[in-house]
Amino acid sequence: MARFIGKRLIYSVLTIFLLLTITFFMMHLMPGNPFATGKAINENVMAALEAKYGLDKPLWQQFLIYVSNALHGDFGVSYKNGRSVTSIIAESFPYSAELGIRAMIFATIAGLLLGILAAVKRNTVWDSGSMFIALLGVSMPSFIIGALLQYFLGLKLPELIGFRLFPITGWNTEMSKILPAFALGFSTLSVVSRLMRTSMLDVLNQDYIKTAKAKGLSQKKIIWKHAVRNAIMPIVTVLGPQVAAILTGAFVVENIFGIPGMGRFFVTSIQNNDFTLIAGTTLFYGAFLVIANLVVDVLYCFIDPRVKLAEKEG
Amino acid sequence: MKKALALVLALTMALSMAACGGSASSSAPASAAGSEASSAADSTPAATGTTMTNGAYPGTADPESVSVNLASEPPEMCSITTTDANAITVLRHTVEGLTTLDGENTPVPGVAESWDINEDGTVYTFHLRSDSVWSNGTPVTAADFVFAWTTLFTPTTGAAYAGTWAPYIAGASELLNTDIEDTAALEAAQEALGVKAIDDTTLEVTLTQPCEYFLSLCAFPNFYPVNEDFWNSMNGVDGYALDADAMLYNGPYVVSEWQHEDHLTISKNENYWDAANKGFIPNINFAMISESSTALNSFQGGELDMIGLAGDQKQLLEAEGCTPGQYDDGAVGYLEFNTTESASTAALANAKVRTALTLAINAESLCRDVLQNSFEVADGFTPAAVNEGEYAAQRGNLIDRTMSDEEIKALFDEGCEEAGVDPSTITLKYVTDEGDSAYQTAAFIQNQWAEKLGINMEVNQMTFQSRLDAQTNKDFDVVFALWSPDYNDALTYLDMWMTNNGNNHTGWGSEEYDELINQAFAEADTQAHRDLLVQAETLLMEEMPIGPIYFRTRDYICSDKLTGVVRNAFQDMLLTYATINA
Repeated sequence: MARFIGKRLIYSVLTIFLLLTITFFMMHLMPGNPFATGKAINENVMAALEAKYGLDKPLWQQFLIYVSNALHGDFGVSYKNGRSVTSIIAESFPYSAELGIRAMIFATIAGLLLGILAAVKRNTVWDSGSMFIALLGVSMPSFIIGALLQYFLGLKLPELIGFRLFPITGWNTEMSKILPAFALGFSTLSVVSRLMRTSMLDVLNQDYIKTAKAKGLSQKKIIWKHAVRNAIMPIVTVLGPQVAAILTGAFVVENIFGIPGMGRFFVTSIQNNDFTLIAGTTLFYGAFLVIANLVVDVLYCFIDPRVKLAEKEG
Repeated sequence: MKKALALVLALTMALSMAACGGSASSSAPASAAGSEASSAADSTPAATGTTMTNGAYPGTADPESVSVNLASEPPEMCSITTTDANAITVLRHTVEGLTTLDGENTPVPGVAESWDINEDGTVYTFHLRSDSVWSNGTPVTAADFVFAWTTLFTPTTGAAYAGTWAPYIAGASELLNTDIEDTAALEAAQEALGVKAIDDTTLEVTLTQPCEYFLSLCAFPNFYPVNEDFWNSMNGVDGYALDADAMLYNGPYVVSEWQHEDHLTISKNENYWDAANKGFIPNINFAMISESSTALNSFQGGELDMIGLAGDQKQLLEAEGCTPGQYDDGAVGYLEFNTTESASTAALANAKVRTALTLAINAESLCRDVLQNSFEVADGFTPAAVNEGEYAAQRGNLIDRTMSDEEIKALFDEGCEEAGVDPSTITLKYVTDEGDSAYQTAAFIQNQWAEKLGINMEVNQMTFQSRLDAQTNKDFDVVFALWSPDYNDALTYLDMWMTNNGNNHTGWGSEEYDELINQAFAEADTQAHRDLLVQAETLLMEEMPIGPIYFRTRDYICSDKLTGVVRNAFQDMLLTYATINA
């Protein structure tokens, strides 16, 4: 186990380094000057700006300087707003993280419950109802759900009930966090519930469930102790990639609900040719995802003792 | 993705229309009842409450503050280096220069309570008031201006607009173009700059030539004072004004809270010398909501008091009985033609071809039918926003859009023949920004040129930075661009078309034009200055290296709570004179 984690860590570092290298050279291939404003800039001023940020040096030198600074924890300063990349991420990531965690918890719990319900009450109204919700989540992107929730629950509901339950924008109160988390988590909820339903049905047909029934165990005990425990495995597998989906989808939801999260920097930094911020955000997200996947793999062996991580390597 | 977006927009539109239809029909009887009540001379408080100026939206609840949408974060707020419209908006509320603009864009005394101008109009002596203080308690002195202006024109500061302002101040261009490696030369050039503090309250500024609108320039944030000690304590240009407490204020408001990417709040500065006449709203919150549908929802839900409106949103609110505001924001949308050899066809070097290309576009139809907005069709390059319309009125219409399609085609063919180009071989490379409206504009122009002139056009949409790059490298035949003014004079639209000006990507140049602009630049007499500019613009429109299409207007709406906001091409938006309706 320790050996497995050690090896995976080395691979992770290599992955992140490769990601950084590719991003660094690709972003410098983009046309455009990070200091251009749409109005001509004095050449001497431009030269001074390029010298200040080291953009006058050959690209390979810039890369070495960047890597060396990054190893010392210095990710540079955003060209656009002058703040350090570290402080930008430190300020904005907590919002995205909280939104992501809330969305993830909501999606997993609600998704599991819906999936279990659908499987247990198979071919009833409960089943088709749950799967209809799942279908909605798969087919409607988060910005549609977000816009609809905001319009109906944020703007129109108060007219009906006479007071405001959900604020339209912001991230200050508990109530303001519900709609964004719901909008962001909805597609993951669908994935989880559909997978859980299939997995549950599969397990419920196993011989050991029949044995349990024959032994006279209660329905409740069979479902929660035997079926769910075994059916949950595939869910853990998809959670890693779902974290990625939620992180990358956050930009749209943050934008709709006016949440000062990190998502926008992903997009605006590229539009602005803000090289340091592009490299910083990519590196941060990359590292985050690599670690998330590692954690999922480790979780796997806790949930199912039959999985031997060392063997998986071979 | 785009289709899906279009779908949801259509869906939300339809839903909101339905909802608004409902509220409109329900509000109509209410207002009728209100008028009946008032005719009965016995209006209930509820009835008077519904007779609102802008419509039916009461705005935010707090009686001590208003909340307006800035749409995005000011990237930084350093008055010396900033070029950002949002930063400039906040700075106009919180810092004051020698002069300041009133609601009609006229420069009035700011930190300078009076000034003397020498006979030939090149030396300004400003007398500063003694009661203007920074928010840390130190007085604002002449040295603060000398420091700020010297820093502005020092190339190592990296101020993007320094090149725009340098031609006005004696010694500024020399300083700006000094070798950045040569410290001694830089110091000498800083010493030689024509800005001197005679004493704490007397500032002497020497100009290169007389300048008719110099007092207006003094109200622009790049010319604001900066306290040197504080600047240094913030690590200079690398740290100044990155946060609310990393800068000093001497204006009607101070920034009391700045949560990046979320909101920025300014509060009344009780120590401001003219606090009795400016800053009537105790707290102003600037929101940073970039999504226009979210902004509208927030406005309707009472979370915002003023938002900008997209074309369809304006129609929607008008249908509800609201009266949105509108102003000419000074931006002009135009085509730049590449007249150099890097263009794919030599035809663009011919003025008749360029004129025909411009006239072949039905600008009226583009604005009304395609973009569905109330932009004005351009009749020159300088919009009426300049000089309160006086300049445009004198200039008149320089673009004859009444020509028939046959005449335009004949003009085009004639030009092509002169250039020795077969019109049927022309395929123009058209460069434009990302986004739906840029795309729709391109498609419309493509269609017009194909139909009326029989030429092909290939559309290249790209990011803003890439588009600028393509312009600089002359990697285009035609580019659609927007220009916004820097100051309230037609020169800000016309000097850019001088030969080899950094903003002129057309490669076009005319000695006669350059001469006219240079004369206008040095002319202090208002009428003579304008006469020269009209001559220059007439020449520009005859040659048409650029094809002006429209003058942009902007729409916005205020809640019933907020009145007196100034919005125009040179001050967008100013709330120092605004008030809260009780």
